[in-house]
Amino acid sequence: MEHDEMDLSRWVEDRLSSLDPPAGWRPDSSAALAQLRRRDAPLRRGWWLWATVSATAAAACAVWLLVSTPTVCANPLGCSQPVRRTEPARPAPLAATTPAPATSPAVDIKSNFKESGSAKAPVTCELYTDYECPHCATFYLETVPQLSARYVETGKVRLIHRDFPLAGHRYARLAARYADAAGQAGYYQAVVNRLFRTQAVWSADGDVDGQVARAVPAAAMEKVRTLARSDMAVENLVATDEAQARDKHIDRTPTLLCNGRKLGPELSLVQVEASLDPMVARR
Amino acid sequence: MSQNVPGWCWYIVNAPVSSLGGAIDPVEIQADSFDFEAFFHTHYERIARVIARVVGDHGRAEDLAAEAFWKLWRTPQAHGESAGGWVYRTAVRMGLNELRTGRRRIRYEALAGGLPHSLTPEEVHAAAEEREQVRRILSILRERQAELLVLRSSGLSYDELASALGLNPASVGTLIARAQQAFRKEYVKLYGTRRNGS
Repeated sequence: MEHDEMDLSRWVEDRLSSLDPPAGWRPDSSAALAQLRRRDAPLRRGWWLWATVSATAAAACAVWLLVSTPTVCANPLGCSQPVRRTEPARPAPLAATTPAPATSPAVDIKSNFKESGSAKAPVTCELYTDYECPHCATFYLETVPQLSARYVETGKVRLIHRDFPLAGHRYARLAARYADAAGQAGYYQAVVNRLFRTQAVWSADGDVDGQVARAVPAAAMEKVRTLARSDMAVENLVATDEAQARDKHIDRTPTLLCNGRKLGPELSLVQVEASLDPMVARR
Repeated sequence: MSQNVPGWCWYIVNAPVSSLGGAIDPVEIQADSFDFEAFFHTHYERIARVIARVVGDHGRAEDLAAEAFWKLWRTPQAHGESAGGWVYRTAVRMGLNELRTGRRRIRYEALAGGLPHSLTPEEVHAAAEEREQVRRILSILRERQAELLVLRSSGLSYDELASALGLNPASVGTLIARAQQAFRKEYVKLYGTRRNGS
């Protein structure tokens, strides 16, 4: 039997060896690398061009909106009729009876579930975390609740939680996708807490799904699972946060940015409060 | 967990790796620290040779190898420790796809040499026919089996194969044996057991 296997192996290798390229052939790696560089250059130029055109167009639109008379408005009585602002807005009758058009998740994807606190808060803080980072878990589970009670719930700070999965953490990105997918179903906070609390478990066995399923009702879990595994819009939420982190030169997690300023280096409760208090008081 | 442990997980390598059993600070190796150019120079030739085995045309093999590295360059998630496996897998798939879709150009293979000058025209013809037959079999095998055979015959170890194709290292030997059986079965079915030129 073993002899047969050796014969088979030799027989196949003998035939495959006919494909060996000649020993004298040397692929030219320098030329190939130069070719890649040439190919990359227009893309970089294209990106800058796109960014410049987009920024110019956005600025032009903003100016046009400021100076022009509106030709359409949201007043159901028409632009000439005053809006009765004393009445609370009611949904249009059709909205209650007509099913919403079938839209792909990519169209109606939500992102505001990552925010907490008043939009009018004088200070906006962004917290960048990686779900597999032990320091992030400590900070999120122990310090953030105290900061929330003191600053977020009192309207002084608006807190935005952002994803920054690090490349060396195998399941961090998947965890971020699950959290963002849970946000679409209204279970963001429950899943974030669960992921940080059970970090040691799922980062070892990779069963992010199993941990999330314990924080989300079974009825909603299927949607969360589908979104996390295959929805590009959810991936884009993670990617957008990542891009922001890179733009802001963030090099570690957790990182707390308040009104654009990185707090720290130490993120103890005392240190963060010492940084936040003057910012809040100035407003 | 201790209260307010000051520490971070780094995005950029900027600290020495802690010894085993040391602090809990993991030092992250991330995409931007990936030295693409060094990686390219280390692997390009071998990748081009893997593809050349499949497509035959050396010029085309170099194009496809460059394409595989271009894909790697555009996929930051693949940078890092797994880049080697990723680029070998991509390269062999590109080669096999080329083979299957029949877009292969083999006109340079004979000109590129590799055969002893002492061969007679009949022997040269037989060798070319043999290569055609082997490639034909590779094109009709299951994708995973063809990938295993090509990469193994290109000199990848079992561990490298496991890494490149996402296999359990313990099962690589069994999978190769099955791929070899499938190869011989198809070969004998199409061409018999007689070797060209023999």
